[in-house]
Amino acid sequence: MDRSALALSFRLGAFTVLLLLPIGVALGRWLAFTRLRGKGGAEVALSLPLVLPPTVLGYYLLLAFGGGSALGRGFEAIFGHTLAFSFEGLLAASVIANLPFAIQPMQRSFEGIAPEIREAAACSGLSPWQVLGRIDLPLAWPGIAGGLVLAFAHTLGEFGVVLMVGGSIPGETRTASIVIYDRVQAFDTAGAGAMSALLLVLSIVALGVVQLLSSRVGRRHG
Amino acid sequence: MGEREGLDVRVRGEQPFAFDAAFGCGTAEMLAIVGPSGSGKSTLLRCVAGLVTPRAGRIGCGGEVWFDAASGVDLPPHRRRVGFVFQSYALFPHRTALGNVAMALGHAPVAERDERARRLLAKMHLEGLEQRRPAELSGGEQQRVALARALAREPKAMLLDEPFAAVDRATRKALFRELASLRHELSLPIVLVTHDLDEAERLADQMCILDCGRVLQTGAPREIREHPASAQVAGLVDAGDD
Repeated sequence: MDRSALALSFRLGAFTVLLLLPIGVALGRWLAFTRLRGKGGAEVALSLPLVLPPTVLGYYLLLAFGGGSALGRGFEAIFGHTLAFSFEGLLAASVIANLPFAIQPMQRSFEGIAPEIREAAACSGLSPWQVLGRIDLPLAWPGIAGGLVLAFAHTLGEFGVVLMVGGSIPGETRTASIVIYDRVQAFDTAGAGAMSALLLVLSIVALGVVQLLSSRVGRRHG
Repeated sequence: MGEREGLDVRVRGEQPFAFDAAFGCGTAEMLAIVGPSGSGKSTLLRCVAGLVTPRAGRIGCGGEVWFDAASGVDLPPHRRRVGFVFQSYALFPHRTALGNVAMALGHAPVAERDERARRLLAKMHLEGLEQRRPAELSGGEQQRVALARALAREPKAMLLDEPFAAVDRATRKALFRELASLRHELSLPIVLVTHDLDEAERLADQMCILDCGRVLQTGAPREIREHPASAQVAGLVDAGDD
C-alpha cells in the first residue's frame, strides 16, 4: 500500500476540514438566517460543485490557478511556484469542491434553531457573537460535525478535481484515489484492492457518524 | 424635554405589515395590548424589544432613547434592558433551568450569577428543578423559568407576549396570581399582549385596543367596556365576551 499517498490524502482531508470549519459555519449560518434576496443565488452557486462534473470543475480551477491567470501569477510571485500542481492548489480546489458537502448540513442545522430562541438570547443581553458561541454553535454542532465528516470522506475519495488541478506528483499531489487508478492501469489489482477497501471502510464509518449526528440534531431541536 | 420614567412608544412601519400606533406605560403600571389575531400586537412588542425595526417613530424607556428614526438611534435588542417573555417560552434547550436564568445575568459579576439565578428560580417556586432541562419541565414550569430569565435581565420594561396562551386553565390561574404579585413588587412598566379580554381586564390598569396595526382606543378596562369609542371597539369587546 502506498503509505505516502494515503498520508497525503489524510493531510489534504485534515487541512480541507480545518479551512471549511470557519467558512462553512459563516456561510451556513448566513444562508440559514438571512432574509436578503441574493440568498437563492448564493445557494445555487455554492451547490454547483455537487452537479458539475469533477473534471469540469477541475478544468476551470486549473485555469484560475495556472500561470495564465492573475491569481496564478500573483501566487507564483509571492511563493515562487505555481498554485496549480502544488499541495496548496490541491487544498484550494478541495475546499471549493467540498463547499456544498460542508455547508448544506451546517445550514440545515442552523435552520433548525427556532427564531424565538435566538431572539430570547438577544433580549437576555447576548451580543451577536455571544449568540453564536452560546446558542448557535452548541445547538448546531451535530450538523457542523456532520458536514465536516462528509467533506473529509469526500476529500479522501476525490479524483477528477485532484487529477486536473494537482496532476500526480508523488508526495505533493498524488492522493490515494489517484494511486488506485494508477495501480489498476498497471494491472496491480491487489494494490488497488487494498487501498479501495480502506477507503470503503472509511466511507462507511463516515456515513455512520453522519447518521448518528443527524439523529442528534433531531433530538436537540425537539 | 426630559424623558418620562415609563415606556413611551410611537411607531410606524410596513414590515411585517402596516402599523401605526402610539402608547405609553407608566412605572409600576400594566398595559394590556388587546386585539384579534393578526392585529399587530406582537409586532408592537417586538418593536419595543428591537426585534422589529419601525420605519418611523420613537421609543423611550426609563429615561433612555431606544429608537428614534429622526436622529438615527436604534439600539440592538441586547442593549435594550427588556425582559421579554415569549408565548412559546423560547427557553434555551441545551441549558438547565439554572443555566437559562444565568444566561441573562451577563451584567452581573461571574461569581454571583449562579446564586442570583437560584434566588430568582426560588422566587418563581422552582426550587429543586434548577438542574432540569426545558424538555424535562411542564408547560407551567417552563413559563416560570421564562419569567425568571426575563427578571434576571434587571429590565427597564417587562414585555409579555401572550404568556398564558400555551398553559392549561389551572396553571394559568396560578400564573395570574404570580404576575399580579410581581406587578406590585416590580417598579416597572409591564406590557402584556393578549387576545383574551378577560385576562386583560383582570390584570391590567390600562388597555389598548388594537386592530389592523392601529390603536382604536386606550383607557382603563372598565372605561373601555362601558364607553367604547366606536362601534368597532364595542364589537371587539363584545366578541371577547363570547
